[in-house]
Amino acid sequence: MKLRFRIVHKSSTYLLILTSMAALLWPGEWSAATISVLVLMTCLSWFWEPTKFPVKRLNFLWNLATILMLIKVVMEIVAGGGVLMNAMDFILFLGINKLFNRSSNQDYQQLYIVSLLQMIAATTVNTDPSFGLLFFVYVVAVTWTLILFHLRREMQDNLLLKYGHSLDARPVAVERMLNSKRLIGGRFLLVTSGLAILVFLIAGTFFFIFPRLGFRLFQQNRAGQTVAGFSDSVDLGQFGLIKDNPTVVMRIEFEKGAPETTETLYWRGISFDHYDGRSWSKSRVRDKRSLPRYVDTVYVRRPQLDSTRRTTQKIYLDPMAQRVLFGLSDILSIKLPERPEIAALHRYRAIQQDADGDLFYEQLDEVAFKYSVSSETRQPTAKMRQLKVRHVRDLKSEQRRYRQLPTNLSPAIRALANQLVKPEQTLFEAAAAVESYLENNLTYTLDLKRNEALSPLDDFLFEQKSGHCEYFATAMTILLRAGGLEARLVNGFQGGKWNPFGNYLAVSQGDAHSWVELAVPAENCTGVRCQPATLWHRFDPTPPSAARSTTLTLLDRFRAYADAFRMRWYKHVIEYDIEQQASAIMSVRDAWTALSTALTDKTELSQRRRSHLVQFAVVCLILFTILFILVGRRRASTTLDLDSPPPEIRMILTLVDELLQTYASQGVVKEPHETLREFIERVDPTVSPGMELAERIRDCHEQIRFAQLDIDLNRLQQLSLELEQVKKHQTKPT
Amino acid sequence: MSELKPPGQKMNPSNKTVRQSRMLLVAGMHVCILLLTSVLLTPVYGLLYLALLSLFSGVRFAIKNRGRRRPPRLKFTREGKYVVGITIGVGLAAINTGNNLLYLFLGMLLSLIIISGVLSEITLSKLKISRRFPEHIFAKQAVLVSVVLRNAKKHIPSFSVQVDDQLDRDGRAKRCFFLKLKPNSQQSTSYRAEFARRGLYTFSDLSLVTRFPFSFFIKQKAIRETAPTTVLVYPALRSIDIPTAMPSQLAGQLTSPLRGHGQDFFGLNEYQEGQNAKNIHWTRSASTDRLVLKEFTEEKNTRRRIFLNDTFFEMDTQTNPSNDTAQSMEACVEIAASLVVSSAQAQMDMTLVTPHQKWTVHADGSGLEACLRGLALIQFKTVPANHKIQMSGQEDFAYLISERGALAMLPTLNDTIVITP
Repeated sequence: MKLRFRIVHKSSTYLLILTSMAALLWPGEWSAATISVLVLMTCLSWFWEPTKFPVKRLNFLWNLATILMLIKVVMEIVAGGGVLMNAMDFILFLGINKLFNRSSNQDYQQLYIVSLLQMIAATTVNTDPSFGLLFFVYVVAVTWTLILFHLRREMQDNLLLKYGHSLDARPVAVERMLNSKRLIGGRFLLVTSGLAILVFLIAGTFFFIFPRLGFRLFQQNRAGQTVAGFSDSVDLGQFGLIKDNPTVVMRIEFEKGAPETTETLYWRGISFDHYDGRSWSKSRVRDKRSLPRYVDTVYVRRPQLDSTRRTTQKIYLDPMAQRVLFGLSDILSIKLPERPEIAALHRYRAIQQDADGDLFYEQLDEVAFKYSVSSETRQPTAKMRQLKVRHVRDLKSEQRRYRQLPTNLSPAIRALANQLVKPEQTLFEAAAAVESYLENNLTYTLDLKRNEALSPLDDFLFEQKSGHCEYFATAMTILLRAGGLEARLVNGFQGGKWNPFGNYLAVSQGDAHSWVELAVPAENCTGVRCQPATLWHRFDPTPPSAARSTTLTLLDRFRAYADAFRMRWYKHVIEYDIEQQASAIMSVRDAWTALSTALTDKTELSQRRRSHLVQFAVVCLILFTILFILVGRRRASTTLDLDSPPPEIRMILTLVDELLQTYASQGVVKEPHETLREFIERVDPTVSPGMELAERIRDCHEQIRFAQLDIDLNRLQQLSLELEQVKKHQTKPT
Repeated sequence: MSELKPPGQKMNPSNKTVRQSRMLLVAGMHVCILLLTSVLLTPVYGLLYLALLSLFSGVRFAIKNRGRRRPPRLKFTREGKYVVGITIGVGLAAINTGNNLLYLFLGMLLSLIIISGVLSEITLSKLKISRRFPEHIFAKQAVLVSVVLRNAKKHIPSFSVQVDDQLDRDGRAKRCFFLKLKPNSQQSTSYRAEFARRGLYTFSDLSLVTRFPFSFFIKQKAIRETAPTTVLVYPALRSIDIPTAMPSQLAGQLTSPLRGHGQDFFGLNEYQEGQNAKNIHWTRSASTDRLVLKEFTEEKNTRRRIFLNDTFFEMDTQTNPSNDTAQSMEACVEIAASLVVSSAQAQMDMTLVTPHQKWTVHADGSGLEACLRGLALIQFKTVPANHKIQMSGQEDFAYLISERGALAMLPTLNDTIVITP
């Protein structure tokens, strides 16, 4: 594949500038109209060759536009606009300007500097994994472009004149060379792409070894996701509508690999105790306390089951506007990822718990929160299951806020509650009855219709009879409360998709879910006063929305790939810090220690292995030494071969000897002090083999021996043949 | 630029295999010793062994290449300075902000700089250079010097290599440029050179320069030829009219009675087809109504002699010739060389005589090269003011070239010329 040099250079330049522009525009900081104009102008500039349209007036217009743009940017900054964004506007404008005015090498050079500035600016606004891909393309483009630009300039600077056989210098048509197809081919691009990969790898190595001892004066943060439903107050109906959003919120790795089913996994987030008829809220927002930390672990509650029934989840939680901590119920402890050895380096992190037992985290940076959760799923005991509704109603719990009802609760709801929750039922029978009623009589939908004349709950229960998880959970909570029980609404996530490429469970915003927690009093709670509930039992009244497919479609697979890449990008690039560096060093140290231990282990098995290793090494050493000596001998025998002169020298020396012998046979002998040239000049030209052949042999001899030129062996053979023929004629009798 | 045939295989492949095998065996032996040290002692001793081995190899390499390799010179180009400046700026920004993407960008810039250095080194490695001068070089006359560059690398081409040749005595380098040199091939190109003075020039240093691949740095590698190239530059040739007018006392002595191509009028004859129309006598042709041709006598082959005074008479006040005198003496040599060459071109015998040397150039041109060589190397000598110089001649004519560069024709038949200040 042969390509025109000019086209390849132009294409790589455009690839470079387009990549840097894409990296800058990707996060959507500019309007669609601006992006369209920029793309259109870039496309137009491809066809605008300044060398073909030398309109000088346009230069003036471009310069004027640049000055006006600069004035606008300065004025906007003075007026309080962002310096960075305005500077980026100007850089984008400069890029377009230079694309339209790329006539000289200097213009190209300035274009590359603008592209470099665009890429640097992009690092401050684009933290998306797309930057990684664009960066790779940029590295390839910059390698191609710089090499091609270098060659272009060298051609223009150095090939201006060429001297022919005559002394007249004639100008070389640089344009012709730039249009040449002989310089650049597919192989060139392939090799330079390989070079670009090398540049990329070295850049990656530098990236990981640079010590991250920065001052972090203008630290770069990723924008946290805002997920409705996890703030202190949530309007009914908002949370359940995010089902279609595939944005991943958190990724969970399990100790034992993929779980058997994901549908039973409820990632508890935040609970609400107060319902005013339209929205849920927390009544004790400020009642939060920081949990004490022991080295790297925060203990939330005392475990009640044996350790075999605990699960551990390593959670990578994307930054969220609401700092809610998720985990499978009931969370026992939270382990932060710091190693004790590098505890001094860790960023500030703290865990808080509010009055409802919900967990929150504190972190200064907008980076993902990484933690491990240890949880146990506690089931009510038999005695708990026997507790009657009547008995629980009479308890004077300190948690009366979980029985709060809206003041305008309709009589129809109260009547339904009385119908479903009967005093003689056990707690679990009553809850199951409510759950069953909702599941069987109402349907799940995201296509909500509202009758504004009714309260949302009345509308859901008696008018529309369809809704999403939030309506179901709210209805059950209110019905249980109306029946005299303590219940609360919990928002979190249910399930998630197993990512086989990253070996983690990806929980997206679409997995958002609401459910109900029913307070189950302690076993010994028999008096009129009772301690706070020891168990909150989960009930999920929402009927299944639709059968979920377990097989991954092509789109799912692509999304899984993209998400795995996204996670690694954030984890290992954007949030790479001194902690991870120190951790990597510690890992090397651990590996070294493990190796040392393995090699110096004194156990019998290890001793046996060591002795085998030593025997193997000794045998190999002896074998290699013997082979080395043998090969060395062979080399010594071939040394002479190495030092022997090349064939053309051997051949010309033989030829000269033959020539001298021919002369000598006719009585003309070369004196020792004479050179071959002097001898031939001295000899009578009529003496065989004649002056002409002798001079040709002499010239070859001088060229090979003294000028060290490469002489074709065929030419020497031809001379040898001619000399042979002359000798034959000489020996023929006359 | 013409591409010459690739050079033949220089190294015996079996020897190469043997060398590679030995290297592999040595590596295997070191691995075994490393394993033994680590297992029998502790892995720390293994590390120590590795460190000592590296140190020993480094020292051995340094000793082996001591004096053989001259480190290449590295200079920043303007673009290189920009890139280094930007790199420093990005580095400071990365440290200040803790922005990891800036660290990534910094890594890219640094790797571009490193790759640039490595590639330029590879580009200049295994390049063999040779220089060829024309056989005859005259001072003040442009010549083409041919430069042959050979890329001995087997698989890697070399791009944009510039050869700098320090030809001028004022230090200006002559340059030639090779855009692409395929692996295992050679190319030649030429540059125009002009030598200001006659004499023997010796060149030993050439340098290879490249800005490849990104024009960040200029890498220069000096190449010292094992045998210095020596060039003999003949005196500059001047455009002079050879005085052909003979002295009056010689008139008639040199005229031949035969018809020929000389300058003396021989007679008139009828024009025959094929004869030179330039010699038609138009006046006579018009009066006789037929074409009449002028005929000339045959030019007798004359023997000429040039006397060149290569001595400088010592004055009372100065022992060395002044600048003007030296220039005029150089002019004498140039005139002498010009006369010799002109005579050879006119197929005349000529003898150049100096007080100490004598060269004869025959009409067939033989002896010209020796004469020019002599003139190229001739040195002016200072003699006392009362010194007498004798130059004898037996030729028909003699040109006397004085130290002032004056050119005059003398009747020197069997005369002896004595030049005194």
